[in-house]
Amino acid sequence: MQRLLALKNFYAFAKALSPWLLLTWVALLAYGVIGGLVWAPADYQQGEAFRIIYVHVPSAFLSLGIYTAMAMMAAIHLIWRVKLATIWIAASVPIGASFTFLALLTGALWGKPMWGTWWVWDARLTSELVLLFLYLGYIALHRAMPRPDMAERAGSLLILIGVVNVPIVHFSVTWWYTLHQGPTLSRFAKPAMAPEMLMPLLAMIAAFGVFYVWLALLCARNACLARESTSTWVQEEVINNA
Amino acid sequence: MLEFFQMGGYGLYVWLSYAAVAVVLFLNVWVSVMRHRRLKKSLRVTIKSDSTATQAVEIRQEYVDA
Repeated sequence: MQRLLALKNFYAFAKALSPWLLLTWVALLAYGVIGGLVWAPADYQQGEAFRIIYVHVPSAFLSLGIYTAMAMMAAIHLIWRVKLATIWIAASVPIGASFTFLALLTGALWGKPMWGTWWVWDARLTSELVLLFLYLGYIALHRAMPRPDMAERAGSLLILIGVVNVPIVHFSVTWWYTLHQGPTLSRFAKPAMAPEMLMPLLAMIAAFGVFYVWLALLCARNACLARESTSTWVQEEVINNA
Repeated sequence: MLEFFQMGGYGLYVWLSYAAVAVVLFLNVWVSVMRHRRLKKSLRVTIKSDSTATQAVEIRQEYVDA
């Protein structure tokens, strides 16, 4: 009963939040894209190619951020058996995998003109690839398990074991010698980036983050409808909101 | 204008990056929105074929309205 109430309330909350998130996303994205592609000056070393940063860094940031959020949900799921935690994980996995894939792809598209190669087997790139395999591994494991509760528990365990990879990705550029440039945002103290370059980047990171929350809430709502399909609130929801 | 699209000779890499992000994000949204619509539609069909469930909703609505 409590679970049903929780999902019902969660659904209403997610639905009410959705348009505001969408609005925020569009505003941040518009500023980020125009600021990054038009207003920001070309980089003195990399020229116009540096503009890839406005999609590459947010993708990479979210690939780690979503994984970290999933790890927290996995812990909540394993310790307190909260159903909503598994719903959030299932909603996050495809989005996280997408951002990891995009971080690798835009990285290759940036690496080719700057380093002269699409790919190197260095610490940053390899650990990011491992992150993609962790996301895909969750999907594979989830599908291989015969029962849903087993699949959810095994998946949460995999996420928690794989969380050691998150600091490895993050610190790889400082721990090992690499072609990849140092962290963009932790160099705040030094004059790392001009404000007209930095502000669109922060906006894009925020935009990607808002997008993740918006889409994950929609996926989670789908899961709520499917799981509670026989309950009264779902029947009311689908009849009243055709 | 042409200069903007050429991106100092890096146009291919820059625009491919942005296009890849747009396509992947759009596919994510499309899949979820379609699933949402299909789910609601199939639930509606199930409810309509089951009169007791429909009655349950009507009863509940009367209760809420009162």
